[in-house]
Amino acid sequence: MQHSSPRVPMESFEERLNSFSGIQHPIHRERLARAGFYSTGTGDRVLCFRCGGGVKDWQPEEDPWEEHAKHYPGCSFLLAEKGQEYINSIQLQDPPR
Amino acid sequence: TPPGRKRRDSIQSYKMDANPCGHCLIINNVDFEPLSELSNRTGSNIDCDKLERRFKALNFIVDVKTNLKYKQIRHELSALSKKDHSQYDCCVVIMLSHGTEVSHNRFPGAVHGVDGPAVPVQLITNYLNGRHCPSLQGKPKLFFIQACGGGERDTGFEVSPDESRPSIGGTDDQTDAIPMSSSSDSLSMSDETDARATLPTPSDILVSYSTFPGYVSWRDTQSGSWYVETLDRILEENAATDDLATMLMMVNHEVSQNSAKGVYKQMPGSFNFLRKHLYFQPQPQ
Ligand SMILES: [Zn+2]
Repeated sequence: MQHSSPRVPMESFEERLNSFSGIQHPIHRERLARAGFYSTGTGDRVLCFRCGGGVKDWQPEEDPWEEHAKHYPGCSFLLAEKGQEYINSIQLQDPPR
Repeated sequence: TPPGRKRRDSIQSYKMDANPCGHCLIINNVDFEPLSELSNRTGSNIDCDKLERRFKALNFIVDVKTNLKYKQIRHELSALSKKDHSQYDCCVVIMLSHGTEVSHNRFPGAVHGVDGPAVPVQLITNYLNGRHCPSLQGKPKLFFIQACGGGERDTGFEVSPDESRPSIGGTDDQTDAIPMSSSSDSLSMSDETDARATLPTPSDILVSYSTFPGYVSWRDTQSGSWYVETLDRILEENAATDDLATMLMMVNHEVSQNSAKGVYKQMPGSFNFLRKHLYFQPQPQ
């Protein structure tokens, strides 16, 4: 249940997108920002604005939503954007992590 | 034994042939204290009986605890974590209660004691993690939670608000919904650091929720909950051949296809930090 609350830093897509300016990242910044991630400014490390979950060591072929769902399946932004069925499909995929 | 099935611990699957396989604690909260302002969970005993029989058939030592308060839940989990699990291969915890929404990026939600306060799922899983329960280190720890979060009813997409009244569901359908709690203490006492994730990752833990915390979970006063009924049946029919993740996919699919008299939708959640496949060892009946 989402209630209106004080503004969360990096809540907007544009803010997250801008965080990548000057950062070399193997993943397209727009895809990362859409998946809720912003750059920490260190290497390829990104954090989710909602759940605070971080991911690093990205491979070019990886999908930001998939990594979000793999490591932080409880994130409420992830749930709102992708739905539980998507999260389950990542969590129960074969082979296990 | 199906061809290709690994009985021993291997790269692909957990060793699951200890006899018995391990402990299974079922906490069945039915009668809530008036001060909790939570309704009694009629039908939960049906769920409890089913799962007790099912996990006995899967060769677990099943221990049922009924109507536990907040502190008693924590006490039972702590007692379970202090047992010596060295000779066992797995550990199962089943919680049947009211639930509430608590945000957490791995294991959200919380489960109520009969006195009202709720134990966060993250804390429940922490009792059995590698740090707190060394004899379960590297072994699968499974949590099945029939509970629900805030008061949101997931009505799917095609239903207008006018139609989505619970009365349509009939008098036998109760929900496990309760008013939102504001508690949101995030507890981090996890297992290991993952190379990819920048937060420590819980390992060898799987949590299966009847529904994502924040949504209603349906329980029939006559036949028990959809989730437990489906879980029990899928385990009965498929545990001899399929691994747990495959079976949970079936459970999730079936429960989501179901709907309370055609109006409300429910989608279970699987939060899986197991590193290998898990095959149960059903006992010949
Ligand atoms: Zn997130």
